Amino acid sequence: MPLSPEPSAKILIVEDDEADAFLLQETLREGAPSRLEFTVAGQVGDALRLLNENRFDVVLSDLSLPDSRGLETFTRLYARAPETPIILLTGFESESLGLEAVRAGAQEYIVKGTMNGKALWRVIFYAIERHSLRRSLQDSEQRYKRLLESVTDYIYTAKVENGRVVSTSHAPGCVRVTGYTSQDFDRDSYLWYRMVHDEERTMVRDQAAQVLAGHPHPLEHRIIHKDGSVRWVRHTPVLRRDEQGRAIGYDGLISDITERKRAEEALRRAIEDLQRSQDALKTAHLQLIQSVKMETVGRMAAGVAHEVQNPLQVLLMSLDYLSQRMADAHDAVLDGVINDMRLAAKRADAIIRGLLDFSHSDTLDMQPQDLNTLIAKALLLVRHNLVLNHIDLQTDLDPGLPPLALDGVKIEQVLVNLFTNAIDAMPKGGDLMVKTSTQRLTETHRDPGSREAGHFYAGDTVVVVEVEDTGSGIAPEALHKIFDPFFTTKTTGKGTGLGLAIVRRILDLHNGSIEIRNRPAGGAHCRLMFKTQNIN
Amino acid sequence: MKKRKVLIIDDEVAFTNIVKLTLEGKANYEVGIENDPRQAIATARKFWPDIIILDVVMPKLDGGEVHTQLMADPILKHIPIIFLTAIVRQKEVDEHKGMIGGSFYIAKPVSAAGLVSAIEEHIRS
Repeated sequence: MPLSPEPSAKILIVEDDEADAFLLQETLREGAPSRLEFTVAGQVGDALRLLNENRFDVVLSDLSLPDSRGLETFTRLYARAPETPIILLTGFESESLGLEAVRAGAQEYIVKGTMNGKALWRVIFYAIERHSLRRSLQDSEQRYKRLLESVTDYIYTAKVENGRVVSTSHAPGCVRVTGYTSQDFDRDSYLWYRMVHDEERTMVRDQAAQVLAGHPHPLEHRIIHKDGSVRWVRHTPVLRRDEQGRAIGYDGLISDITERKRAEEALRRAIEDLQRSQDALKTAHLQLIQSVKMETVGRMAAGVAHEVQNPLQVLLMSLDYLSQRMADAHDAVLDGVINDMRLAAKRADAIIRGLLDFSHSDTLDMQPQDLNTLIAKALLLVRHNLVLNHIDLQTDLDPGLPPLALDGVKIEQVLVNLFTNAIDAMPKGGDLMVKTSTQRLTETHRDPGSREAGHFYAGDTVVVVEVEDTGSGIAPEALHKIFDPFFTTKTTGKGTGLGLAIVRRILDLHNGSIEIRNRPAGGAHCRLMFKTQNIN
Repeated sequence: MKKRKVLIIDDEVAFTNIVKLTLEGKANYEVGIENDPRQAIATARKFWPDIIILDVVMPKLDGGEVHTQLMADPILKHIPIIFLTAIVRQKEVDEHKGMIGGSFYIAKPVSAAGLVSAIEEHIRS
C-alpha cells in the first residue's frame, strides 16, 4: 500500500475516550500531508466488527477499553486483522506493555501526548511502510520457496580418467532429488551408483559405457532417495572431449520424473480398467446376441415343426400303406425305394423333433440328483454303440460328489449327446474317458478357442464332469461355432446341428457351463461345471 | 362280426384319406372322414362312431372346441375321443401316460401300428 505521491489513508481509532480520540484526529490532520479518513470505535467489539466489514490502512488502539484490557486488546485485534498494521497507544505507566505488544506483532507503540502531529504521522507512515515491505518480503520468500520446491532438475559432472569415472560433482539441486547434498557426492564417488535401484544397475552401467564409447542416450530409471523412498529420474548425459577428441568426462541433467511416472502408471491402470470393462461389455453383448438368436430359433422352430409334422405324418403313413400293398408283389427294387423314402421321412422327423426339443428346453424340473447316477444311466443308453465301434470306456467317478439340483431328464439328454458325439468322432475305435470331481476354482476359467456359459468366480466350489475322447478332434475354425444352432460337422443325415445348441441351452438354464476344446494329444475334451450351492 | 367305426376329424385331406385306406385295408374297421370341423357334430350324429380321432389345430374351429361340443351332446359325449396332434411330442405324451388334461393324446407322426393299438386300447367295447 504505497502512500505516495498523493497519500491518503484510512485509519481506525479504537479509543473509548471521545476527547482523546478527537485530539488524536486533530493532531494527525495537522501533521499529515495528505487526506486522512478516520473511523472511531469505542470498544474492541465494535472494532472487530468494523475490521470485518472494511479494510483499513492502520489501526490505532488504546489498550484499556471497556470490553478489553491490556495485551488482550492487541491480541484480539491482531487475530482478526493480521494483515493490518496495529499501533498501540499507551500511557507512561504502561510503556512496558507496549513493548511486549511489539514483540507479539504490533507495528509500534506510542505514548499518548508525547508527539506533535508531524512526528505522530511519521511514526504511522513508517509503520504502514514497514508493514507493507514486510508483506512483500514474505511474499517473495514464499515464491522463492515454492520455486525451489518445484525445481526437480539438476546438473552433474563426471570426470573420467583412463575410461573410468574418478569423481563426480553434483549441483546443489541434488538435495531435492536425491536427499543427499553436493558434499555427500563429493566425498563418495560411488554414492550415485549405489542409489540406483537394484534391478536397473546393469542398465545404468551400460548407459555409462555407451556414453564413454561416444553414444550418449537418455535413460529413465529408479533411485532410492536418502529417505528410503523410490524415485524415478531421467538421466540425460552429454560427453565432454579434450582437444584431441578423447573423452575426459561427461555432464548430465538429472530430472525427477516420479510424478510423471505415477501419472503414467495411473493412466496405464485406467486404460487397463477401461479395457477390462470393454471386454466385459463385449462378452455380455455376444451373450445377448447368442440368447436372442436362440430365442428366435426356438420360436421359429416350434412353428415350423408343427407345420412340417403334418405332411410328414401323411408321408410316413402312406409309405407304411404302400409297403404293405407291395409286400405281395415281391419287387425288391420297389421295396428298396420305399425303404429309402421312409428313412428320409424319418430323418426329417428327427430334425423336427430336435427343433421341438430345442424350443421346449426352457423349463426345468429341478430335483436333487446324483450326477454319477445320471452318467451311469446315460452310458447305459449308448453302451450298444460303444461296443459296436470298439470303444473302451474308462470312468473315474468321484463317489463323494454332493447332490445337485438338476433336471435329471435334461442332464441325461446332455450326457447322451456328448457321449454320442465322442462315439461318432471315433468310428475306428478309441477311448472314451468320463471323470467327475469336486473342485475349488482358483481363477475364473476361460480358455481361448472355446465357448463358455455361466458365471463362475474364484473361490466357487464346483462339480466338474469331464468327457474325453481320442477321436478326430474339432477343426480350429469350427470351435467357435459348435454351439450355434444348425451348425454340424457330421455328414448329411447324421446330425441335426441342434445337439450342442440344446446342450448349451440346458446348461445355461442350470447356471452351469460347458467348454469344449481339443486335447493336445488328439481328440476332444469337454468340461461341464455346476455350482455346488445350487441345491438350495 | 360288426365292424368298428372310427370317425377321423382332421383338416388334412391327404391324412384322413391314408388313415381310411390303412385302417379299412388292415382289419375290421369302417372309417368316416370329416375335414370341416364345423360339420363334426352333424357327421358324428349321422355316422355314430365307436371312437373319434380328433386333430387339435384346425382352421375355423379347433379340436378343443369340437371336443367341448361333443361333450355337450347327451349322446355323443359317451364316445371315446383320441387327440392326434403335432402340438405335443410323443415324449410328453409318454411322460403323462397318454393322458393330458383328462383326454387321450397321440403325437404326430404316428405309425399305422401305433394308431391301431391306440384305437384298440380306447375304443368303446
